[in-house]
Amino acid sequence: MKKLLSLALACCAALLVSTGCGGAPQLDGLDNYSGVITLDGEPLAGASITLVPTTVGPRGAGAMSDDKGKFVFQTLQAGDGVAPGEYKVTVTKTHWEDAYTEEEQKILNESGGKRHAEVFPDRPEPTAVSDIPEYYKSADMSGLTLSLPEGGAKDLKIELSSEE
Amino acid sequence: MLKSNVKLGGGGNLRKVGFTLVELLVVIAIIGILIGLLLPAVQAAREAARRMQCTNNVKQLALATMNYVDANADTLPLGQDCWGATPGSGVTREYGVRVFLLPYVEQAAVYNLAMEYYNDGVKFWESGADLKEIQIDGYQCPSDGGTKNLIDGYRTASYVCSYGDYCPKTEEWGWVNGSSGRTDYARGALQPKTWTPLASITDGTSNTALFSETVVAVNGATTFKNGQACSRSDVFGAGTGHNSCELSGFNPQTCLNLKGDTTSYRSDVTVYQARGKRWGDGQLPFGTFCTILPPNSPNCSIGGVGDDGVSVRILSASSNHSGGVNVAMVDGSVRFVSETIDCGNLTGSTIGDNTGLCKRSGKSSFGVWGALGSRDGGETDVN
Repeated sequence: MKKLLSLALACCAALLVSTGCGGAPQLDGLDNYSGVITLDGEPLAGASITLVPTTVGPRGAGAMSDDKGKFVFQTLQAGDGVAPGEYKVTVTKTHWEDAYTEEEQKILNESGGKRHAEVFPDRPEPTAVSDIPEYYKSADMSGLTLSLPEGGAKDLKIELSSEE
Repeated sequence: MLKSNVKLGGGGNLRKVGFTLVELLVVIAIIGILIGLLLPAVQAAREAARRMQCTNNVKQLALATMNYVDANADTLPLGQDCWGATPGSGVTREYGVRVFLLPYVEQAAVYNLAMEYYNDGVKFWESGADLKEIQIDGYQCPSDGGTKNLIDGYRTASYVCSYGDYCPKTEEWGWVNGSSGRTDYARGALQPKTWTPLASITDGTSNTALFSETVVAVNGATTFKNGQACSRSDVFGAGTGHNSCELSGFNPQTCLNLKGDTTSYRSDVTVYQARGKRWGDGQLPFGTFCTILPPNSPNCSIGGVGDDGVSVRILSASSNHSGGVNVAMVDGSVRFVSETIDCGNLTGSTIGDNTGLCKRSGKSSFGVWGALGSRDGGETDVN
């Protein structure tokens, strides 16, 4: 009886060992970085941040900020982290003006590929309008940089100003 | 020989010889555990078989393309068709390469049916259920369970053709957009509205991608593999033009940032179910991919929710295989491309260069993956 039980336990252990591995390939040497982005001191929600590597080596990375302006950088997968190093930062946040209503979008879709002006001659085309100064889009003009230390960081700050 | 389980004991009493209940339960438990051990292996073997079938399907498509090339004056088929022989006719039927290859995958009857609609001037999406719902097994990847279903009345297809390291926009639907010349563009083996001459694949047929896969759209279940994020002005800048990927606002990493977890988009992303839907349709989300974001990345479009054919897009290859996708090269060989393939710098233009990442000529910006996509980039680092 005891033999049987110990055999059963051994089988359980074997099962646990055999089912552990597998899954998607991961990039090596990444650390976790997170922080808060603000515009004039207020948290900026829904901003798209990218890290532009200043040397050829590491890949770029990025994040989108949540309702409280918090962001967690990722390279390929959510939560995979970023290679430590020096980065330039770009930030984009836009909203649509004159966006199509659901009905208008449907009409456009069913027009068989016609352009806006043919379908809605009297209506302005939807345009994306930036909520922050445009220069934050450019890695060379944004003036923002981040130095990501080895081992990760949780208290990064990206501070934007709406003054042009 | 039959043995009795019942013996006469010393005192003449009956004594049962056998298992107690506990012993029996333990034995059953052990058998259960052994089966539990075996089951993952069996499932893995089944998935391996499905993946092999899937690899074979995409190889057959590449071989069919080679046969097409032999039969059609050394040109590859159209990625997406338009109708009318004269440039400027302004009409297209939106049939995709998967229709033009039908005669070369033993589906001549389906091809003839499609051509009846085609010659009557009927677009693929306007055709009847007899065409839209036809199932061609070789066009579906068995690893993707979603292919079993119709979506919005269409049969889906898993294999998409490469438009290279560029975000095409099949603007307008004729051969030529008014008098301004052709305004769409693709740098891959196949192109919309243009037959690629085999001789123009100067990167070499074994270094240029032809077909890959996508996870197909499923009603009510969106992942970043089969859905398309809409109205992404943060990816394409404010540009909605066909060449917005050549402008400095183009930032593919921003599209990658829309991954919310290992399968889904972030919750605040508007998603349209588009990938692989409509097996015969050549329009971008249904029949194409580009080699910009690595395999199993999100798809992004500047246009709103819906089919909206005149929208510029990043469309990624994706699959349910672990860690990557199958890619068939023009020469008919098939490679498995990992999610971690080098895609260059996806974060937009950097030092001293105020143009976008996509190029019409020269070396690709998107690393090895981009080099595999371009047919004439002149890259040397693809192996």
